[in-house]
Amino acid sequence: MKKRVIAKILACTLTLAAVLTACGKSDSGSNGGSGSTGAEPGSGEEVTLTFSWWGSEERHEAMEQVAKLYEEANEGVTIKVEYGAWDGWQQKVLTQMKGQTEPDIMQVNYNWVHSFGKGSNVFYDLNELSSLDLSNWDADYLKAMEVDGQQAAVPHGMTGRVQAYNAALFEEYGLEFPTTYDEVKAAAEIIGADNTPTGADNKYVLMTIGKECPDLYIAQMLYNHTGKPMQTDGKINYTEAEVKEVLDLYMSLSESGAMPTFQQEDPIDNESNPVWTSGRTGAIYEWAGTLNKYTAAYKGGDAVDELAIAPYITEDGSAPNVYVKPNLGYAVSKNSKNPEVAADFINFMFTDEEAVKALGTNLGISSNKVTNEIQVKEGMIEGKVKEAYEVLDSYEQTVIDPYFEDENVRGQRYIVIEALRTGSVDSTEAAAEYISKQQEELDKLYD
Amino acid sequence: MPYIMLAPWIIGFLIFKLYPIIVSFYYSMLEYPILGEPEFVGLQNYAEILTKDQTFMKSLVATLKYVLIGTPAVVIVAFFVAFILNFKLKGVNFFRTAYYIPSILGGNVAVSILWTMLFSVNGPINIVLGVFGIEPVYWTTDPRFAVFTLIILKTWQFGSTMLIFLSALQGVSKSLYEAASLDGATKIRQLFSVTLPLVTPVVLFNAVNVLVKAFQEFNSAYLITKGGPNKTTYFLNLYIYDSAFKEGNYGYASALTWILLLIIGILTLILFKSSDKWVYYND
Repeated sequence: MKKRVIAKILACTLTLAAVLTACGKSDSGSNGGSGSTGAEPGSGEEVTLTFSWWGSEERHEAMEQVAKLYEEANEGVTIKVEYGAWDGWQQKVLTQMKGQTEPDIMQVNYNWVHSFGKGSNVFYDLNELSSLDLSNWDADYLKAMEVDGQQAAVPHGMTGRVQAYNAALFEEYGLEFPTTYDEVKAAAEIIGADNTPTGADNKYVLMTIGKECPDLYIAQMLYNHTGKPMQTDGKINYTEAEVKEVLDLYMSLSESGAMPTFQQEDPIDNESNPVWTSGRTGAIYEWAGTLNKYTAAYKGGDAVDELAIAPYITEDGSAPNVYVKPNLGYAVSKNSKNPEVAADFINFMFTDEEAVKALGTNLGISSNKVTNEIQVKEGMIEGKVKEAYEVLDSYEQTVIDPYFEDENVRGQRYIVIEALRTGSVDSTEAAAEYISKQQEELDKLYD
Repeated sequence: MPYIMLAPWIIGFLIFKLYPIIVSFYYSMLEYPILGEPEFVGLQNYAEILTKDQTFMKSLVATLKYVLIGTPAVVIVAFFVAFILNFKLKGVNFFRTAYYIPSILGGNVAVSILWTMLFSVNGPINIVLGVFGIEPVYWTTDPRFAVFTLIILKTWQFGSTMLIFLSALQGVSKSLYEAASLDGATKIRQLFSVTLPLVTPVVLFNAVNVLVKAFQEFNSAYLITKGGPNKTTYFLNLYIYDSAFKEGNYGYASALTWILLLIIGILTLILFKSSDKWVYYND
């Protein structure tokens, strides 16, 4: 009798669990939707949408303001917001998408669009939604977020890394901004003259903060050195000798004291890094679109005038071809019950004057023509962000490969760079692994 | 009736424990991209992990180092602090509470910031070492030391283990100490010949507990060292998390989980088997 009761409970529970699993796996159609695009924008129907993003406190306030503006302009629509810091955000969204509980509208990263589905579109095909005016973007910009012939997302704008200088530090030592690596090392002899191996007050000519920054800095150095981008159609374009030369050059910057060594770096790997905020580094390397967070953190935001955006540093001072990418985009969930309203919300963000004003240049300069016009007309493109984009625009630009930032691909680069910087491998071994490990991951994606 | 009363627990256990365990084993035999269609690949994930995956090997070495050094460290420190706090000292309750607090804090963000500051190259620990003429140590950025920084954190959080020891020590009959004392045994001799043998079952219990928890360590490595430098603190749990949620491969992550379970199982079994030789059961 007892066994029978236990068996019944067991059977019921496992059946229930199996049913739950089956529910979770239901496919939602080729373009995502169930076929219906739900309520029509402006219909007055009661619609609740969720909208998620990551970012800084400033962005949270701006985005919430945009959501409120849309609710006011669209009776019956409620926008629920989900936001947080970048750390762990990708994992959260991936998990939500797995459980088909992702928000209707999502701020997405460039690499998500391509890597999440490994070449297949996992978001709603925006070509299918009439409420979003895609003609407001140049075709090239849209192309960057196109996957398998479908418009997976629309970009907010394009961005690239720029060198933001602490002009006050250079003035203090009577130095010009360096344009070559030799000048960087020469400046280190003056700026870092009193540095010690562990000095809390050490000063540096430049810094590459965190894991992503050294990776991007080295990638740009490689591009400058060889004239070839990192990868084309899934193949790494470099020889081991080329990579070794650049890794040696990068390491020579920390060996000369121009940059902190791995051990000297402060563990805070964002804009709050004390070496930056206290003005003890001459330069950082940051996205033009999100430069504001660094300028706001510099000396508590009270000394923005001490900062400047200057040309890239290269081996011979020549103008580089710089990597750029969509800074971020917006996508609609395949599981959204009201994708047309979701698309209308995205359209609103880009075309409503008040919404654009609310966002300011928090997300950088937009590549959407309407947004850009408003940003220009309202004099919103100013300050260091404007200078950063001017520097970027003065160069030839290359959109980075969709898989350049794939977690597995760049993860391999991170491992190699850290191993080199900690002295676990020499530059010859690092160069070999830099190519082979990345290639292994790319082969899986192009399999 | 009893089964109806038990049903909430049984149903919870079946859905939230047993079912995920079974399903994860099934997943471990799939090529299962997080947003893609799963494909049955048999034992391929296991074969790849055990024969080709260098990250797994690094992760395993880091985990074993942490567990095999951290577990004895916690047990020994917890025992000796409990031993001292078992004496009738003035203000002993204050010290018991004070030593227990770190284990309540766990591996949260505040503790990780505290640890990062304490062990930064210009932090208080190096300043104190400097007083004794010791060169500054790069605690979190030198591959040789990073794992020890986390082991020290784990050891610092010995409170729960200490509390269990304390209750065991209080259970040792005073008459045994009186008898030993009459036989001329010193306090040290009493510790090793009376106290320690009598609490060996609790030593085993604590050792298994700490060992299993150490294998599951995640927070400290994620928050303080981010698995680095050079993967020297990239514990298996971190690798499992990255495989599943960052790289989006449920199948591979599930296989890693089962390998971790197997390793924990084997080491626990060894501990239990060895207990025949060193655990004294008073029955």
